Amino acid sequence: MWLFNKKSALLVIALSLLGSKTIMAQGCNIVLSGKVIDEHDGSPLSFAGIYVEELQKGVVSDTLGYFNIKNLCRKSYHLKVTHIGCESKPVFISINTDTLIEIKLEHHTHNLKDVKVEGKGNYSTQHSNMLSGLQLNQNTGKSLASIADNISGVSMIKNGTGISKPVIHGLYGNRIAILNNGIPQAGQQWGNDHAPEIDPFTTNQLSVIKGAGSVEYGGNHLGGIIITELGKIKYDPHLHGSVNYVLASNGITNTLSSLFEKSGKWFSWRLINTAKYGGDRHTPDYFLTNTGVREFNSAIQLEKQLNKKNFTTFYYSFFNTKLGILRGSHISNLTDLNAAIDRNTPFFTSDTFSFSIAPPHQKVQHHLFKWSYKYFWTEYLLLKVDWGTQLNRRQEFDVRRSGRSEMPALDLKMLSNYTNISLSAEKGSFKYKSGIQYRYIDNVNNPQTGILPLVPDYQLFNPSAFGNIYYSRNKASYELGGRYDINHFRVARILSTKTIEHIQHSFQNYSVVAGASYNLTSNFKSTLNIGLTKRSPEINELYSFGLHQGVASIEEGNRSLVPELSFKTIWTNTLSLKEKLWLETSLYYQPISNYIYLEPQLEPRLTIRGAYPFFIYSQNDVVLRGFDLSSKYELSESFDLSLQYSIVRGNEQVSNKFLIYMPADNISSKISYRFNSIKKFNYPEIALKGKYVFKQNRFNSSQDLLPPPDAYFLLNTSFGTSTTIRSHELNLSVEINNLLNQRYRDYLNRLRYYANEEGINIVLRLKYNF
Amino acid sequence: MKTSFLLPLLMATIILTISSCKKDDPEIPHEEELITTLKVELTDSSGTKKMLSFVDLDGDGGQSPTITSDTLDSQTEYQAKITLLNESESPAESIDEEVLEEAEEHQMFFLASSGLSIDISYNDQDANGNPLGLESIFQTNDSSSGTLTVILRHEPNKSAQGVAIGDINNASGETDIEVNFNVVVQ
Repeated sequence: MWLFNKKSALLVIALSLLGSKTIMAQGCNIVLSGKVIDEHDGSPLSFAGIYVEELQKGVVSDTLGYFNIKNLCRKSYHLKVTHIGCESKPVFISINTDTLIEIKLEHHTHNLKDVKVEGKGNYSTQHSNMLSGLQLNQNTGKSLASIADNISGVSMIKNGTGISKPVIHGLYGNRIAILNNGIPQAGQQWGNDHAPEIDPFTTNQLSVIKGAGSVEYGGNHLGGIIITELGKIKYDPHLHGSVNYVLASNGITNTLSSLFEKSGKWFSWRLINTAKYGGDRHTPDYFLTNTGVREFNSAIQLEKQLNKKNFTTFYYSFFNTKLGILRGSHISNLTDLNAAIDRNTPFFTSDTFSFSIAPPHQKVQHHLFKWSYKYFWTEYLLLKVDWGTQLNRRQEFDVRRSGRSEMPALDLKMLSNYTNISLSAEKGSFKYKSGIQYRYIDNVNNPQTGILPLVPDYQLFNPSAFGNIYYSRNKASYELGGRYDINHFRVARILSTKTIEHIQHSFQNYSVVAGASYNLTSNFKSTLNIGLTKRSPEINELYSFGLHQGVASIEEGNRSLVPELSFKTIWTNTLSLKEKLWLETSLYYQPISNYIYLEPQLEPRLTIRGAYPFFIYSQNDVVLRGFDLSSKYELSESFDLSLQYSIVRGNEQVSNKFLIYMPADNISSKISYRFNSIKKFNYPEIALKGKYVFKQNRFNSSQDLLPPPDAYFLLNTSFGTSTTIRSHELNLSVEINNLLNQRYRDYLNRLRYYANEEGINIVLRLKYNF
Repeated sequence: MKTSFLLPLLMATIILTISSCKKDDPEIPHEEELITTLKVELTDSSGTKKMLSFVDLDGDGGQSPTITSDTLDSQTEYQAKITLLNESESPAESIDEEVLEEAEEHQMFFLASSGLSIDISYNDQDANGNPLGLESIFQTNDSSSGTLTVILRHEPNKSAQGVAIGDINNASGETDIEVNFNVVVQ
């Protein structure tokens, strides 16, 4: 909230008070002075360019970050601030007297940032990793999970190339929460082949909290939280925005996205539209037939500062996708599965490229409507109300007889409502936050599928309350929070005897989080978080019944499951040395009692289509632990080197048996060099990135059809620059993924039984800002 | 402070909750595609009938299927006729009619394990002159026993090598049925 952020008070004064009464002075002799600083640590940025669009001239900041622009008139100006290694920043300013401003640029694009502090009222000792600005620009066109995969300790579980879900420290699905612009995403998160329904273009900042949990964001996320934020609309009464175009050679995937925004007297608005169209992907040797993608997303944001104390936002987004699933992965039974595994190229592989998407495929639509209201009671007391309604429709189509392929085999509608009322207060070194929340979910199967539903119809009623105390003094800060949830389920289940069983049950969950953070010096910070979180079993774990076509297995829920209890300790250290070296390490230990997992049964289930592997949800005490490292070394202003490494270990506590789907150890490194501007091209940057993924040697052979695939090494390279066209900025970049056209398979890709991963992919990215 | 904002919000929430006090009965899907029953009726020249049958009335999961097979006579030629039913509906639906309608996209395969000595040949055709296999001829040889696997493939490649004479190896396509019978010939 810029209005209430003291640090930017200068800018605020300049922007808001001087207002719109623009009277042309007879003489243009106003001086605009300012300082350009690093958003991250406040250090001055020298040699930053400050360009005044209206005058078509610019100045450069001095060694202390200061600049002066003279002979300005009493009117409004658009400034563009650039610096090597930074994303350029537009600033709109109305002036009628000599003015002093402070401009913050996001320099040092490592993701070793400080604790996320979103305006007033959010204080935490939790450590979060963020991607924003340049890092997001370099990843446009990718899915949310593949963008989050850039963070050390975050990986993804995939179902082919198009469907991916984020994995944090080895946990995913029901165990992690995704906050979509402040509202917990409500979809069919239980499915490993169900990707989050979020358009990454509606995200200005993607943060991941890998820690012990946060009491504010719902009870079940013992694995971590992913937060997408769009941020506030820029203060500027003129129409601005950007257009992104991404073309990926593999699959000839085109992505076009536009953003328009304007702030006005009555309200400010922002509109985002994204379209994506792609066809069959290609491995080094063959096409992955039927892996095309269609996407059309829209989002609109309206903001209104009612008066000094009242601020309100409306947000609506619509996510709409159709995703092809590799035709050769549609498997009927164990015999066919073994035949498919033995093949060099998958069944039904076509010799030619095609954009068409036939069954098996998925269609997903997700509507999110959000209303948020903030009332600043006093300078120290904030009331916040969020209301979110979501409608999720998921349809999955299989290859079926007699024209029934047009009929979805799974068709679920989920309506959810979320209300959050919270109060934040500050008193001296103490900060309090508490609130009540209510979540309602209604999940309905469409009976037109002609198949008994895999998960039953149900309603969930989830009232909850939370409270958090934060205390900070000198170099240390402490936090203690608690949360209580009631999950009441009403289930109407169709039994195989074609009768309906009504079941009601409740679970009570609690979480307790304690944290401490200590800044030993201004360059070294140590954070310790401990969280106790209870997660009640989800609907699929309790009641799922039937064939999961995507994985050719029969899964049965277990009514006798009890809640999981997780106890996660995470210790994070961040070090920055002389603005040259950044280092972040996280060490964690997480025992989970009654961990819910799919246990393979010895006897396969016999059906008329043959035998299927058979799994029942079961519980056991397990322990997860691991280590993440993320570092960056700036050899010079133009040359830097970064390295990431992460390992996760998971096993059962008594038997020591390994857990399935634990991400393999991986190490990645990037070296990049920025040239000085060449003629009209600003700071061209060339980068080379290598990623080595070890073979997962810790597996339980009875739990999987195939042992994990071999280790692999991928090399990526990219080249990017920007130029100015009629005083508007155009960013262009070319990235080559899998430069060596490596044949490989990934352990966490569930189509690894059938096909290789995709081969070389040349991605062209254009972004035009206006 | 505009508490008037909060009141309708809470009311709306409560109304939503109360109005749905009982989870509505879901409509039971019409499982028209389900195959619960496979019967292979074998008739010899004298009209004596033998039966191989697989019945799984509750579909995938749940109760185990019931599989029965009559003992076949040695050195006998049987006319085999396959019946596919969905007996979870009443009256039972005939699935073999559906297969017959899409004969070009379906084919039955019969695989006898090495111990079982039966020669099986197709006795029907689709519109393209390729075998379908709902009707076939079972020629038993000397006494033997073993497993007979009956398979129905959807969208097989009927022109692939050997497929027309019942070799499944190159057939690909999707398996709609795969059932094993323990067969004794004596």
